[in-house]
Amino acid sequence: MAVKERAHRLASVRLPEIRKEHLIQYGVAGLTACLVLAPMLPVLYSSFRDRPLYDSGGTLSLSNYARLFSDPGFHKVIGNTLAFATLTTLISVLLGVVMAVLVGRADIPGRSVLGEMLLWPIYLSPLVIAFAWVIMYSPAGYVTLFVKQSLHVQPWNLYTIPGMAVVASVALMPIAYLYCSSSAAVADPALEDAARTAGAGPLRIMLSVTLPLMRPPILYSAVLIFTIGLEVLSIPMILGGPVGIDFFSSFLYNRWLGGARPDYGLVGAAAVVLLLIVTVLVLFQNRLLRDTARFVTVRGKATRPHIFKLGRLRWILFACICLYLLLAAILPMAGLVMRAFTKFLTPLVPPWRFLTMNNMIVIFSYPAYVRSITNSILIALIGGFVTTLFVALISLVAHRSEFRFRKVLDFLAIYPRTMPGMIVGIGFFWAFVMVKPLGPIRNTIWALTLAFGVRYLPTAFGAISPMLARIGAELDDAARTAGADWWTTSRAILLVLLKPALYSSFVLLFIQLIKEYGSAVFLVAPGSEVMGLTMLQFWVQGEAGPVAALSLLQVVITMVIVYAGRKLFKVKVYA
Amino acid sequence: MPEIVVKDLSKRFGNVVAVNHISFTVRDGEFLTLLGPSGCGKTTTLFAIAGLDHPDTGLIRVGESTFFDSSTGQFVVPEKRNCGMVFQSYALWPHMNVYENLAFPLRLRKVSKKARDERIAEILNLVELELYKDRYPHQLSGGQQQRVALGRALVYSPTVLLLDEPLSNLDAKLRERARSWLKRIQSRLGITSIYVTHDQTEALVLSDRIAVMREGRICQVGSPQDIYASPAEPFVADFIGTSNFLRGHMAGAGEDGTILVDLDAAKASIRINTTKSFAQGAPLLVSIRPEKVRVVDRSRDAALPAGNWLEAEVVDGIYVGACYRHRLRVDRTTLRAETEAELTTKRVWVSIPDDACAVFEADPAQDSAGETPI
Amino acid sequence: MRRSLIYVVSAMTIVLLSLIPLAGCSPTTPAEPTKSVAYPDYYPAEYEEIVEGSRTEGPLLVYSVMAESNWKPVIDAFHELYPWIEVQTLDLGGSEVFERYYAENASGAQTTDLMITADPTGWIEFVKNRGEAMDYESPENSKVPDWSMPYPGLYTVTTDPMLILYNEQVLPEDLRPAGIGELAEMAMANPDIFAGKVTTYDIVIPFAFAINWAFVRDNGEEAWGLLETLGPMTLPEQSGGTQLEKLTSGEYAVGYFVSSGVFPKLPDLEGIVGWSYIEDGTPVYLRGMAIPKGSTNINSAKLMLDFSLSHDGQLAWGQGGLTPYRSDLTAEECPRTFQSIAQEIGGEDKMVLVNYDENAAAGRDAFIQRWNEAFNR
Repeated sequence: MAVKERAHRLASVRLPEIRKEHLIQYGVAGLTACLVLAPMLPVLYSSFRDRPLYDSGGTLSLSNYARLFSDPGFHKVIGNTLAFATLTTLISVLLGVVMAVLVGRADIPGRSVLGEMLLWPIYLSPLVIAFAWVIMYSPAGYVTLFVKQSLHVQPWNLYTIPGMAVVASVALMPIAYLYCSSSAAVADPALEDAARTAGAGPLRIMLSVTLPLMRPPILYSAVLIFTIGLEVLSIPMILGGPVGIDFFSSFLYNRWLGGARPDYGLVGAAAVVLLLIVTVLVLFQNRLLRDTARFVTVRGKATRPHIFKLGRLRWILFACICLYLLLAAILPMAGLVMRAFTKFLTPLVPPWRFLTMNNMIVIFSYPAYVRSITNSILIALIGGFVTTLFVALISLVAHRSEFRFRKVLDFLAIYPRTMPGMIVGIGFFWAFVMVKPLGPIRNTIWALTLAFGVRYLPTAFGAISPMLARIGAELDDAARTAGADWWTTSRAILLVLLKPALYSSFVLLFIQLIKEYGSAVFLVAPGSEVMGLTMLQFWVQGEAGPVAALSLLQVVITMVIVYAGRKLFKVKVYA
Repeated sequence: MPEIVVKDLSKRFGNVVAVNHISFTVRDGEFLTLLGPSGCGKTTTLFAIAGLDHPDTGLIRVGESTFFDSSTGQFVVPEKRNCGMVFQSYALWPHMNVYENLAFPLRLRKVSKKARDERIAEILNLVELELYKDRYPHQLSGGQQQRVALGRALVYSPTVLLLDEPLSNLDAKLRERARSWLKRIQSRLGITSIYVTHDQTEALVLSDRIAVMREGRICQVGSPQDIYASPAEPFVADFIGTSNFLRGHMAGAGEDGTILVDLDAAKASIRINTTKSFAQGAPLLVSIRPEKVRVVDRSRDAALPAGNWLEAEVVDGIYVGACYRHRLRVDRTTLRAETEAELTTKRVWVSIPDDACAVFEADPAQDSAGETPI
Repeated sequence: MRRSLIYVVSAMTIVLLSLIPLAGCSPTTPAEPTKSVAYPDYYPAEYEEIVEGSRTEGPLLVYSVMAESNWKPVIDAFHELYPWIEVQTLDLGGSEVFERYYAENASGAQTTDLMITADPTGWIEFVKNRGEAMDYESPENSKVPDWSMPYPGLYTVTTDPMLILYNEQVLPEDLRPAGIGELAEMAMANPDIFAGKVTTYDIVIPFAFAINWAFVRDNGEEAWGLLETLGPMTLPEQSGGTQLEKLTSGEYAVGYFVSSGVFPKLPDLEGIVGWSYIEDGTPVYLRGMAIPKGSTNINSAKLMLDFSLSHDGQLAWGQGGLTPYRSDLTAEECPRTFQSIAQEIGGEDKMVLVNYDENAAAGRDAFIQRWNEAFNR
């Protein structure tokens, strides 16, 4: 029996005393609401105002919305954006699921190494990915020229919507992969064995049993990736801008930059529109995941999942995965490494003519840049840890309790991702400036930790919630009848069983927090610099070498943390 | 050991009434089974007693404590009810070994380590799993997991024991052994227990009393013998064991506590003992257990003793080890009968003993048990 | 399991605790000047009061569009005179300098003490329309040209030229333009070489608008003709980084109105990337500087502003990679100044001074629309 059905409220039941669980649940919900709404409210308010928040005497109206919808640019970009986001979501999720199943559950040789390499794109900022792909796959890119010279055919055009979707998919696929593989790792083999005895081969089992059971993480990652696709800025800006393909994000960014004064009203209205779209998506997602009892696989009878034997397909699939890794991870990463140690990079001249350590030296010669590295590590460690725990709490309250406002939490948990990073940053900036008690932490790294943590709440939620859905409700029931209250049950049973998902969440958060820059723009101050923004500053000045060097540092740091964490916790993320 | 009182309990899920104002009492130390087909509301009732479900109306009281009372709005949370519960899927916590699964409730009750160890050893002894203390659930067989689940339910000496179809996942042989073992433990401990199952054999073997449920109501409560021999409704007669059903009409009441029933499907009448009274001509349903039907070879022209004898022809028979089960055609209807030896002739006499029938008023529109199915 | 958790938590705590002191600290400076301070005679006698006043103030916060490498020589030289002033710079995007100030000032939160950015329209709004600039008269104002001080309180730090940059491997010697007109001619004649391989800044960038506006203002309708010719062949970029990378790799053949921030790198790119000033009007954009009214460390801000305009300060900015404009800098001290550029291209009238044109704000929308049409946006 699903927990939801048993949480039927009885109007006449008086709750006699304030129980600990109510305190915790209301506390968590209240805090979540504050954190999520803090950046959203100023933005919402400014969407109705005819002038920026800092100017007094403004009037409230819907004129910003009118302007947004009547802007000729707006209509042009909506089609582009939807096409891009849809294509990206389809490709990412497909790739992510396939990889999760193959690398996580099938006997592909070298699974652990391959699984590690699949994650490489997510260690890089989208800005860096775009620029690494330009190095390799742009019309003057190394690989493009190689193909042109050897095969005498114009291979592809990176500067098209499908081209950009491929880049974005490669960048975002690790999210779907990580979400799905922690689910795949806890499948109950009895369910699959049942299919085997009925005569199903491995492929059939995968399609009819394993995949449908992965519906929660598939849906979560699809919604999250689609949302990111709607608001990602760097890929459209670098790849689409020059050829005139504009997306919603770059459209907004240009309206922000290009007016006489930044158009807060328009940007606010656009943020609200995005919010509504994502709300609809989440409603849809919830509808599809409604009866989560269908996805329960971790029951009181615990067993180990077994590995699918692929037979003849084994080496073919291995080769395919290797090819994908070569094109999507290794080559761009190679481009990045090259650029990090060269003054310039051009296919017209051999790279070793320009070898230099200068890019690295520049970074370490200025205290502000060194600080940005240490700050980012701190923020990513603390932010990742705290956010993971907090989101675990949110998940427990949203999906495993009888809290009255559970459903609201589902929405609150994804809203932070609906707003482009810059807008989140502006929102938090306003929150810190207007709410005086928060004043002292503004301009410190704690403000950034808070803003980043909130921005990536949905990422953590998507890593943890589906896993929660797979733990049978009878484990909760058994604990309750044995005498444990809601909090003890959550703590001693559910949180422990969630460990693989908590670890995935921490890793994902660390990776995202260390490279974040969009929401940092308005919050950074001397002393609280972060790597993502430093990279952007270098980039704007035309210094691509230090950008590559810094990005390489980021990747190395992240890999070290991921590896160390895995060894310490003995929890595998993917298999 | 306290008694469990349930009064006027009801619960609906949306438009579906799962539990429809039922009341029953489980006496001190008694083993009561809630028996019925799936969807009859038995599990909902059990969960309501455990506190895992919020009923709509009713009263649930265990001993002196009121767990739930809709008239005052009182509701005690499950963790405070001190019930022991065994789940259908055992619900052993996979990240804890056997010892830790058992220790969990004791830790919650702040039992000292020494006392905990003693108690766990005692329980493991009881369920015969002393050597498995350090094993994890996935390292145990189904039967062993089930015993751990029972042990965990008992380790903290609960006031009552609730069992939700705990044997349904075991194979037949194991289930039989588990049944008798479970019964032994329960009577040894003398703990008031409610058992939920759809398996009527289980119910008959284990229970002190059975409450047969259907579509949210209780059809009959009684000892296994009562329920078997004197079903209160055609449904009960059909659900417990097997029954033959004959439709007929009230032909008349006799002086000696018998009535005459004109059978619809056979041109005959039978006389049966009953304390019930019916209006003349009222449509009736007579049920008779196959093992009570006597069959005699018609080819031998022996004199038949007094009784309800009908002409019949053997349709088929199957051997089930303990006896032969035959289907016999009686005019336009079919009866099932059990015989020790195989019937060799086709034409037989069938006797309906007058003291082994249950008779019910038949609802002409609705057919709760119907004609004897093939 | 419990034990390894304890190890992990302790290890993390140690790591975190050791990192925290590093976060948010700036280097300490010696207390007394290393150079004896002798002010020129045109400084007022009361200048010492400003210096004294700065000793008790907090760190000087500057919002600017300059990078660490630009600031370093300036801060080092500044510290020789005023070592007790801790200078904290924040490198922001052009309009963020204003936006952040407006938001912080409006709510009474602590904000910047000094602002430096290159956004003529933004400055007009700031100084003229909102009156947010402190009306400070620098003692150096007699030593700098009038056009560098358009409004009371608003000064100029550097004057940076925009260039034409081309890939020497893609463009043969006879196809390397020295001006926009020449570029348009060459592009028309050789579309296979130039079409889709020309780049410039996207007009949405505020200083790109300012540059284009000034160029058109100085060259009239003819300038529009050139832009409209080049438009269909140009792929505008939003950042200098992409421009330079793609010019180097050969994806672009030529770029115009490219920022002179590339100067430090050009020696290394010898043989690959060449450059030229723009003979039909080299745009020179001004980085404006002012002390906002919301400034708290006012004395320190004044000292920095005055220093930036002084001989030593201008020299330091030149060392930081920007183009100073003070006339008393010699060629040995600073090879590239406003004056040296004017000399090289044949006079100041060959420069397009991207100054504070009050008509720009009004004509903006129409201009941008026309530009977009020309560039197929």
